Formats: sequence, structure tokens, C-alpha cells
Amino acid sequence: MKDTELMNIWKSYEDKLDQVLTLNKEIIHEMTKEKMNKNILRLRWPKTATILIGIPFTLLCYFITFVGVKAQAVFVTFGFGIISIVMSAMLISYMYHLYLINKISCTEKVMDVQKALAELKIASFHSTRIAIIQIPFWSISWVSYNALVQSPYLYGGINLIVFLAMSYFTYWLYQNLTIRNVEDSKVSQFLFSGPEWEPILKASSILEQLDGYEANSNR
Amino acid sequence: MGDNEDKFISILENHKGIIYKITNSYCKNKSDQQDLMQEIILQLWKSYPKYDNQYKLSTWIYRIALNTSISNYRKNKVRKEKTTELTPILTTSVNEVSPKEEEKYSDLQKFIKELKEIDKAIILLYLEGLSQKEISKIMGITSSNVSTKINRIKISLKQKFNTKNHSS
Repeated sequence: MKDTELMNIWKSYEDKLDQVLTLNKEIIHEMTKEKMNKNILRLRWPKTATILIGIPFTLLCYFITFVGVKAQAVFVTFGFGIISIVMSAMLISYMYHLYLINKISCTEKVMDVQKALAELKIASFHSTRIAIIQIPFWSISWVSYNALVQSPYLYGGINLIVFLAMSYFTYWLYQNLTIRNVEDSKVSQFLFSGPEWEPILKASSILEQLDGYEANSNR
Repeated sequence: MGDNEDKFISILENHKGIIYKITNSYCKNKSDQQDLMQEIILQLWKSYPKYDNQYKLSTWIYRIALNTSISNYRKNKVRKEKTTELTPILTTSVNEVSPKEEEKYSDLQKFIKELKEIDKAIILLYLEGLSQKEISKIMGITSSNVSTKINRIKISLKQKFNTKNHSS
């Protein structure tokens, strides 16, 4: 097969195509009235929803921490304090993602836009990994200091086992939830099957392709 | 209908082939293609007030169409179950092409669909007859990188044609 043959195949169809393509102007006219942009909306809504739910939840965590401080409840203060900090970090990163989404413009160079989009999606994945860190602290938030003093071995032992088990589970989850594992692991597939997580694999593949191009141009 | 809308529709009319061919290469079925066309046209309409005259209209359209197509992360399985037929934005019936030409073209389309997203974008621009410099401007990579990539993709496409010819 000669070099020009590929182009000839393409052109032979293209010439006919131009003649027979009919544009439905009525639909285009209707579409120009649409304010919403579905593509960007698909990226934006899970983040906006998380922020809207996350803000009151985080404020509640801070409030409980504040109450814990006032009541001198050490475990409540410590547990909810850490949870509040982790939640705040998540919210800040989600707000930053929204800011990035607003900055992305499809009119820019394909490589730049695709890199920004892919990195944004992978950043969402990492935010979830940060969120996981709070899991063990939920177990110590409910520990009563008085009960611990009264029954240090039984009450303290059970709570320590629960805390250690949840810490190990968090460590295991954090280690296993990597982008490479999303495809293979059933845990990852279960956790990352929502609307925000569908694009992760594709984003990862696009980034790999872009890296390939960058490596090629550096040679 | 406003002046802007008239101008926009006339731009689409003049470049409808670009949108059709790109969506055809990035979609597996007709309803996905119609949906992607709708997204591209919405993106074009949204960006139209900010269109910069220093770029050719086709460059602007290629960038938006390719960016939208590559980042079109849809869930095909769910879509097939839920989808209802969309009213077509672009319709075609290419009957005048000979069966042999038609077969070669559909093979080429099939092989292009099998390429990775970025490679697919580059070969589409090449087949559309754009120069390496223009492809480099649209994609944001160097001309030499474009040239290397095009050669590799062409070799891969030719091999697929040869394998198909040998097996049939």
C-alpha cells in the first residue's frame, strides 16, 4: 500500500460526504438557546454537590470539636478535630478543582486541554484517598475518658483493637486505591463506580499517551 | 433569528464535514455520535463570542471538536440501555460510493477507531489534508513530533490493511 492510498480512500468518501450532509438548522437554532453546557456540567456537578454537602458537615464537625474542648472531652476533641481538618482539606481541594474547571477552555491546544482535564480527574482521585485518612478517627471520637479510667483493660482494650483494626483497614485501602488498581481491584470498582470516577481510567490513559508524546519530543 | 446565530449556523454549514468525520471516528454508534455532535456544537456556540480572528475558523473548530471528543468520557453500556433516539443534527446517506470504495473506507474508519485517542486526532488531521505546521498548532506539539507520529500511525494502518487483505 502506497502512502497516498490512505489519503485517497479518505478523500473518495469525503467528496461524496460533503454533497449529501444535511444540517438540521432548526435543532441548531434550538441549541443556541441552551444555557447549559453538558460536558462541563458533567465535570462540575459531583464537585459542587460534594461541596454543598461537605460544608455543613465540616461545620458540624468543627462545632462538635468546639463542644469537646469546652467539655474537656479529650477523645471527642482529638477525633473530630482530625476529621474536621481532613474534611477542610478535601473541601479546599474540591474548590480548587472547580476553579480549574472554570479555567479550562476547549479552544486551547488539544494537548494542553487534555492534560489539564486528565490531571484534574486524577486530582479528584487523590482527594478521595485523603478523605480515607479520617476513618480510624471516627472510632476514637466516641471513647469516654471516664469509662476508660474505670475499665482500662476491657473498655480500653476493645477500643484499642477497634482503632488498630480501622487504622490497618485505612492503610490497606490507601495502599490499594491507586489508579493502577482501579481496573483490577473489586474494592476499587465498588468504591469508584460513581459519575465522578468513570473518567479516571480514561484520564490516566490519556496522561500516559501525552507522556509518550512529551518523551518523543524530548528525544 | 439574530445575526450571530445566522453567522454561527453558516459557519457550521461550511464546516459540517469536520464535525461529522471527527464524531464518526470517536463514537461506536449513531446515538453516541448525535450526542457528541450536540456537545461539540454547544461548545462551539459557547466559545463563538470569544473566537480569535488570528486563527483560521477550521483551526478553532478542529480544536474544540477534538478536545470535546477526546474528553467525552461517557459510559457506553448505560447509554445503550437508557438512550432514546435523538433527532439527527446532521444526516447523510452516502449511496453513490462504489461497494469497493465503501469497504475500503469502512476498514479505514474501523482501524482509526482502534487507535488511541491522541493518535486518532493526529491521523484525522493528516487525512483531512492539514500541513504538519497546522497539526502542530492545533495539537500543541512540535512539527517533528507530528511527523514522527504520523509515520508510525501510517505504518500501523498499512499493516492492518495488509493483514486484512492477506486473510481475505
